[in-house]
Amino acid sequence: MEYPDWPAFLAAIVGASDDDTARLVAADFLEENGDADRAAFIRIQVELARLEATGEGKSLEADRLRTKEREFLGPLSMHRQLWAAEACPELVRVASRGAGRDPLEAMTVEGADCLVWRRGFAESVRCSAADWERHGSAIRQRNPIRFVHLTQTHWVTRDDWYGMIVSLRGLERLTVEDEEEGFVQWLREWLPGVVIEATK
Amino acid sequence: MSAESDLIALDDLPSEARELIARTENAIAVARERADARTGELRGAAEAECAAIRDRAEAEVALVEQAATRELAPLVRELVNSLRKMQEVYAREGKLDEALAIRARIRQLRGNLLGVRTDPGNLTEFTAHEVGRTVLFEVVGRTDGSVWGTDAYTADSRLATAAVHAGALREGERGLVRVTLQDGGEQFYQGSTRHGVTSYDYGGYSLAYRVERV
Repeated sequence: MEYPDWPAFLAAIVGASDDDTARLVAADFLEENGDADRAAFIRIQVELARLEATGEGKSLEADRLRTKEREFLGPLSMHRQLWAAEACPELVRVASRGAGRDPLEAMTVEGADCLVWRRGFAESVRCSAADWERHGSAIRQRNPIRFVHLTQTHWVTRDDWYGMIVSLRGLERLTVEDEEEGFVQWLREWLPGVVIEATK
Repeated sequence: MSAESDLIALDDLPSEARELIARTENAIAVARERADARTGELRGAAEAECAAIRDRAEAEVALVEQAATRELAPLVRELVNSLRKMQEVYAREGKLDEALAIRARIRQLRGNLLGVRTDPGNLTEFTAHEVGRTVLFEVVGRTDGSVWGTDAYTADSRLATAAVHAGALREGERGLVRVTLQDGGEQFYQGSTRHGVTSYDYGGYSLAYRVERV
């Protein structure tokens, strides 16, 4: 749901992406505003990440949380689809499957699989390099993205890459498909601190 | 006049006439070249203008789509939340038929949002360009119908039967299955008997699929 105060919460989370406090405060805000599912999901993933970080990732408690997490993220979850559409409308689309049907019957969500959720928010995104060029900055403004996987990189020119550098700075890892090692080296020089991988 | 006499006549062409013809040919070539260059310029400019208009339109369309998505996603979420609360109220009041009807409607809505499709019979509607794609289908398991392969099935294999063969569904069971399209050109499809279904061998079929329970 789009609350007037929500962008401020997102800005705080993006600005301090390692800190869980802002996320948990956002969860409280959501619960107070009637979005109990989203609040529960954030708390579950934050707690799960904490357990994994402290070596308790295989505990019974972690298993219990994973079961709950799956209710939200499983392949039959509507939450995952709709949250993805709200978090990243640039890549995830609420689309219509053609005229002649009832609006609800025709409605479908496309592209939700491009996001991976961690600690309650989209942390990883996979998209074409052209899409990232167009939308990367906007996506990172609203989501604490740490990992980016770019496909179809052959469609963007070196000049395009120069333009994209700003939106790729500060990531933890960048994966590029179909790029030569020479190019990856060049990219590493422009993105110090970012782990860059090339895949075929 | 014969062809031979034509050649003789050309040999006799005075140099004055030859020069006149050459000058004219040269002028034609220059004019043609100028016209071609101008035509090329105009076409190039028009194409660049069209491309710019198309790009602007695509960018505007994308913005409209994004705005629609921002508006629609919360609407649907609110609808689902409200329906769930309504379902709980009806269930608490003992109005089970109404509660079940609401639950069925929510499930239907979920199926739409997830892009769940009805059983198409087989998967020949897909092409090799769609290798890697996954699609959800609602299927009732069957043991009749033809299936080629084991684990990976040819695209013309009956989905409902392949789902039983793969162990994703039992016969008569209705359920959601996830189908993943695979490149099938290089592989040999080995038949086998599993879960009461016998599949056939097949030598080469360009598109294959795997089917699993969701």
